[in-house]
Parts: sequence; structure tokens; C-alpha cells
Amino acid sequence: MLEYIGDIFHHFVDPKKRIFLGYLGLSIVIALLWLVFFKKKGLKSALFKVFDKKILLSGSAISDYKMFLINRVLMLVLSPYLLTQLAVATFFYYSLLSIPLSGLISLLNDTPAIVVAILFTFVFFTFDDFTKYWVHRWMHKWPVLWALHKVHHSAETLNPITVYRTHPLEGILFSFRGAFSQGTVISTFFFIFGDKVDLVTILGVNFLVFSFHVAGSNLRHSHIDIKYWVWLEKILISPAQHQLHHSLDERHYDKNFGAALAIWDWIFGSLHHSEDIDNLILGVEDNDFDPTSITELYLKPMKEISDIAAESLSSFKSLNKIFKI
Amino acid sequence: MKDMAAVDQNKDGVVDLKSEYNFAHAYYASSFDKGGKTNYYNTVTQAFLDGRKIIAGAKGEKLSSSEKAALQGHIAVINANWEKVIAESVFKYAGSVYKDIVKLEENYSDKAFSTYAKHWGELKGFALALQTGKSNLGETAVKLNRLTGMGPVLMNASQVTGVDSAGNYIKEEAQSWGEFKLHMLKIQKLMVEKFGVKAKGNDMLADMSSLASKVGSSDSAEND
Repeated sequence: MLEYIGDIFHHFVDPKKRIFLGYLGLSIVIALLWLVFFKKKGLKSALFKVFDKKILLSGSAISDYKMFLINRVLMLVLSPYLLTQLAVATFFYYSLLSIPLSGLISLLNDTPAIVVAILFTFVFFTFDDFTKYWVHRWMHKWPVLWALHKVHHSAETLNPITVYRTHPLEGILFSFRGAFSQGTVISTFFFIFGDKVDLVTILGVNFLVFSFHVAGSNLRHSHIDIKYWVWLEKILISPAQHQLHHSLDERHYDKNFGAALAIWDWIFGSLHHSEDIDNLILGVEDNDFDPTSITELYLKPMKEISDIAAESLSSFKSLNKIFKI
Repeated sequence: MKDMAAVDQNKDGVVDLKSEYNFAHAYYASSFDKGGKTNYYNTVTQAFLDGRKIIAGAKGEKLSSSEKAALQGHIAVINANWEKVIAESVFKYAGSVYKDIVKLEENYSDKAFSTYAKHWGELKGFALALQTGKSNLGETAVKLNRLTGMGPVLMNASQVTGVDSAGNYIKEEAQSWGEFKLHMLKIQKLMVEKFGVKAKGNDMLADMSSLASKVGSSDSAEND
């Protein structure tokens, strides 16, 4: 039993995870520095702002914490059955070997191992981020996926645990995305560079992932609206930019889908720079959806998906009738 | 005794072939056990000793049915572990052949080619040995023979594919180097699936799986 409890809270002590206590601590420091030096607040009022009870203990936040617990248990049960990136990598590796490309590959034999490791780390991170952008964009554009993703967006206040405010079916989709993106990059690099491939790490974590978290990735889901310079917001998503992504204002709909990098939003036309808004209203426009009810958060999306399926089935049937006539 | 062919245990200056020498498969068993993941050598030897004790204990009389059953148990242990040792060897040499091809693709040398041919020969030998056990391997044997081939793929991508009526070898460009490498990986996979090999010498996918575990899994319900 104790072991299970340890597993549930393991993300707090795992540097691969965003809510690792070290990153949370650093995020608090960054938030305080921002409030004191850029917003000219006193240290005491900055501390009150960071640990604002109305944010951290709001009804929405409490439902985040409940979902964290439920989802961790669910994923511990489900994860052995999910596709792993190793399975995808092995499959792709086998396919790559049947392509006669050895001429090309021998040209790359002299690449030093350190160059291969840096290149792998960079490509791995960038491609992973790129697929996150697209999957996230689809989560917003396709009604069936939006029914799931709406759960995350129903949060009315944001805190670092809001990342776990995710419908488990969406979690499964994300795990497929991860397996696909990571498996293809791993196998391609192994095919080209063999055993020279390695990951540049700090504390056992991808150096770039580590940098993203150290730079305050936890503040994306918070009420601290840190903005970057305009030029930097085209490269990296600032916390304020992600908070706009959660805004109820129609002007902010379908903007800033990026995870760490803003370049995908910039290239594909969904970038929105941060704005000076004091009280951003967050959530989704849906009156019959209670964002604090756990039952609704888990079951409503299923109901919506079955409604969408029934609707398209009936329109398909009527289309069928027309063609029969 | 681990990974040792011969040892002068009693220091009398000579190796006693009856007590100080490891023959054939016993030597391979001990070399796999060196990795610490398996215990083939002791398991097989102990089963032989225990089996002998039963036979010697009967003092020339017929074995009782319970003694017979116990003896059959030891025979089964020897059988299963011995077969695994051979499967481990197939696994290991398939990995060697893969590595040799990578080397030959980079730079040809006569030495590299003869190493490749030697390793392929070892692979073929163990692959055949695996098929001489008491049970028919059926489909596994067919796959294993097809993947290994009748000869290694040569530098001009030709390979022995059969013998004609006059007894001459038929050579054809049956598969590319890339495909042959893939076949070596498939042999390793087959050994894992059908025989549950654990020592896995020269595991060609080990680097990939260790990298995959280094990146960590993404099986968590989290929204970025």
C-alpha cells in the first residue's frame, strides 16, 4: 500500500517531471523576483500574491488536486498496456533496415560522438515539441477531441497541478503521441549513427527539458503573468502567453498551442503576444458544465462524444436514404 | 566456475580432462552466467549430480516409480537449460554477425571478412544444434534457417541459396546487406520469444532500449 502511495506522488521527486519539488521551488523564486523587480511590489505582498488562497484553494483548484490523485491511480494501472516508444522505435528500426541506404550512412561515419549526442538531444526535443503543437491544435479543432480537452480548459484558476486536469482518454492519446514522436527519432538516429547516439542530460533529464523546467515552466499554469520580450515570445512561449490560451475572451481563442517553443505558433499563424490584462477570465463557455464536479469532468466528455457519434451516424443514415432514392 | 575452459585446480601441473576441463556447451553456459542474469552452469551440473545420486542409490536394482519421476524431473531441467544455452549462443552470434556487417560496410578488410565468415559459421552451427534436440521446433526452425541462410551474404551481395544436381553451389543476389542485418535482429527476437534467453550477449537493440529508458516514458495524463 505504501509503495502505491509513493508511486502516486513520485512525480514530485522525479526531475523528469514538471512538478518536481526543485522546479516548483525555482518557480516560486522566479515569480517573487518578477513581482518585486518588474511589478514593484513589496516582498510581503509578493508572497501573498504567489500563495493567494483564492487561487490555490479555489473550487477549480480543488478539483485539479482530486483529478491529480484519480489520474495517477488510473495511469499506474493503464501504463503497462500502453504502446511504448521502444516498441515504435524497434518497429521503425526494422523498417529502416530494409531500405538500401548504407552508402549515405557511411558518409556520416566520422561524425564525433559529442556532435551526435547534441544533435540527437536537440532534434528529439524539437520534434517532440512540434508533435505536441499539432496534437494540441487538433484537440481544439476537432469536436470529439475538444470534448476531452475541454476538461483541461474548464479550469477557472491555474496552478501547477492544473497540468493533471486532463481527461484520462486524452492522457492515452498523449502517450501515443509521445511513443510515436520519440520512437521515430530514436530509431532514425540509431539507424544513421549506431551506438554513438546518446542524450545530453542534467540530473538524468534531457538538458533542454531541464532548462525549460528550470526557467519556470510551472508558471504557465499560474496567476503570475510573466511576459517575455516581443522577439523572445516568437521563440519561447511565455507564461502570460499560455495564460491567454486559457482565456474566455474570443480574441484569444485558438491561439498559442505551443508547449515550450512558440515558433510553431509563429509559423502556422496561431501566435498571440502577451497583453497587459489585470484580471484574465479563464474557463470554457459552457453553462451546463460544472468545472468543480469530478463526476462531470470524467463523464460529460464521454456523453458528448457519444452524442457527436450518434449525430454523425444519423446524418450518415439520412444521406444514405437520399442516395437510395 | 565461470567462463573458464580449463583450470589446474589441484596445482599438479596438468589439467585433468575429467575434473578440470569444461567441454563445449558447458563452457558456453559458464560464459553466459558471467553476466549474472543466468545460472545455467550450476543448474545443469546440479541436475546431473542429483540424477546420478538417484541411479547410484538404486544399487543396480529397478528404480521405484517415485525415483523414476524424480529422475525425469532432473532430465527435464537439463534439457530445458541446455537448449537455452544453445539459444543464447545463437543470439550472441547473430549479434556478432550484425556487428561484423556494420564494420564491413564502413571499411573492407580481409581480416574483417574472415571474422564475419567465422561468426556466421558459429551462428549456423548453433542454429543447427538447436534443431537436434528431442522436440521438433517446427515453424521456429523454418524461420531460423531462412533468416540465417545457407551461407553469409558476400561482398557483392550474393549468397549461396542451394545446390544444383551436379553438386555445385547456386549463388544468387537474394538479399541486400541491410536485409541481412535485419534478419540477424529477427533471429535475436526469435530467441527471446521462443526460448526466453536472458544473458543476451551482443544484444543489438540494448543500446536503443537503454536510450528509451533514459528519455523516460510519456504515459502520464498531463497537458502542457
